[in-house]
Amino acid sequence: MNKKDRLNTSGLGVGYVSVMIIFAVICLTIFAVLSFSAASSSDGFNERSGDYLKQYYAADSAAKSKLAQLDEIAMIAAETGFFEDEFESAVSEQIDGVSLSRIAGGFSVIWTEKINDRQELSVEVGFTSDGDCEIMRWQTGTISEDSSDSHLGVWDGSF
Amino acid sequence: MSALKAFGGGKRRPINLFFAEIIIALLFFSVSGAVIIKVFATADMKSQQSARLERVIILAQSIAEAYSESGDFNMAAELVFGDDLVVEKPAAADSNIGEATLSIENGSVYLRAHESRVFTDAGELSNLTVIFTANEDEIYSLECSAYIRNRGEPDE
Repeated sequence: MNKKDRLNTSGLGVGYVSVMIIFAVICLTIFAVLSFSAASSSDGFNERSGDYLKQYYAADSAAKSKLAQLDEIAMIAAETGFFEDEFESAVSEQIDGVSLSRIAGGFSVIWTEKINDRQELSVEVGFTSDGDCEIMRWQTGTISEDSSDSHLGVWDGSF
Repeated sequence: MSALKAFGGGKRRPINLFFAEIIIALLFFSVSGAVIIKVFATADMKSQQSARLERVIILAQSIAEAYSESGDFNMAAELVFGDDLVVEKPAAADSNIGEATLSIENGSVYLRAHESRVFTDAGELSNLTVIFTANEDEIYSLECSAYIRNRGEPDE
């Protein structure tokens, strides 16, 4: 190729443009995929957060419904004048899933509402003989697992 | 003769190849660019939806917390939205079942609320369902409740 031919050809040889275009397309593709991945991840996180909120308030509503029943029973029991007997018998007959224990001047009622597979809402309410009530615990906690499944697999000294 | 050489001569092959390569590369780039722009647009739309959902979830939780304390939707909405509150259909105060529609986010999102009340001798158990919609599509809904005693709030 003489000097005149070299002047007629382009400054870029064959193949350089293809390499640059392919590089640009790869870069743009990577950015697009990363952008989509970040948006999708954020969307998934918000959906999980929204689902958890629904589960929590469903458990909260169930607990409040039970509190309303217990409060009504306590009011009726207080009006009879035999609070302890009336309250204990009415709760055991009408409400499932609660445990009663005696405290000074009344009863402590404990129950849990399941939020999801791993968490539960634990509630403890104290009722006194005048029909008054006090919320002593209203908190979420982890559902306790069976101790035989969660123990560390270490040697206990026996053969 | 020289003009003939300039158009069809064998010595012009590198330039022809260069232009052919550019045409093929531009074709490839335009097709790839169309696909990539579509992915970017989808990501942007998803990101906007996600941001809106995040804001709506925070609003729903705020309303639920305020409602749990007061048992009154109008009060809870006023507490959460403040001066931004635009009530299109207020909830009836004297009914056991109330409905309200609020316009939020400059009218791009609507909040519909259904409230039902159960009265007992000891107190009032009220349930609230808030539904956020945009363009008639439901974005998010949340159910919550409040228990208000007749003899004052339970001690905590």
